[in-house]
Amino acid sequence: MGELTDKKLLIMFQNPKTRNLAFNHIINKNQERAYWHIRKIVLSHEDANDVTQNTFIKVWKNLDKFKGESKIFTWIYTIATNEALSFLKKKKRNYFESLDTVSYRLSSNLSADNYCDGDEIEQKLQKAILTLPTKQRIAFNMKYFENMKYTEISEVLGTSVGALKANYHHAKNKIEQFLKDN
Amino acid sequence: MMNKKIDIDKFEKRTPFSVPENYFSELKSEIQDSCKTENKSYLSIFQYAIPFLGISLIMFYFFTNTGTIFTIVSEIELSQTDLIAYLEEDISDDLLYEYIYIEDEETDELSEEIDYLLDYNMDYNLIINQL
Repeated sequence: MGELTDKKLLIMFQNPKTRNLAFNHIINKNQERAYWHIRKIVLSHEDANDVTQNTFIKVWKNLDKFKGESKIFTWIYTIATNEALSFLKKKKRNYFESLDTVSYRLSSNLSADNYCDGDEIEQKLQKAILTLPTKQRIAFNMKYFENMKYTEISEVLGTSVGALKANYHHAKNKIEQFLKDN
Repeated sequence: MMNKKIDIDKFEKRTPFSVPENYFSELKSEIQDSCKTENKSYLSIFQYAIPFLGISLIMFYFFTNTGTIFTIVSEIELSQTDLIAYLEEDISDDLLYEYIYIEDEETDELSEEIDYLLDYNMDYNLIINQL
């Protein structure tokens, strides 16, 4: 069987006989990327695991409504981002606490996470990234680590390409300054 | 690192995060199981919803079609004196019927039936049973 295109997968998903096959293929193709994207937002492995599962449950429930106007993977990224942001919102201690404060609080628990064990540079870089506001951090991660195109990031986050470029530049300078100072 | 210009593009672009061994192969099964559970929960909602809807429809039909009985009961007006008289059996069947006030047009048929039963001097209990 050749490479299954998004269109073929969607057609297969509409058919009850090939529905599971198509969904398995979608999981295989996207689960790792989705997990790492979520992990960089929620930080702990346990939380990322829960949010990833919720993301794919939503994909399963809504794929038959997906019109194929964007790529399946950008659509999954959008769901993953929304799920991760909802998760952070649920972690708020009160109505007035910002998402950035929640992220900062979660980052302080990183040292206790068994699955956060990179070298010194990786740890420092992550600390620097965590100084960014949450939404800027998400966009930065998508460009820097995942090397996504600005147009794709724009589709996922609903922000203009121009604003994303400016934000990335600003975030990069801020991180480099943080590393220089620390 | 302090005085040099830092360019993060020259870094290896890795995060400090890791996952347990074989995590992604297990994640796939976990996702599939979660989706199956979701399907079952949908099914179980329908399993309960359909009988519930059926019973509700039957009850709705029953109350709308037998509502006349409730109308009559709710619209019977008896004064305390009449009630006492009735309980002491000093009241005739015709007099009692005069106090039964039925407004609803739909109950006309039933009224005729009551008239018929009273004409034949039937007992109240029998009338109630007939209704």
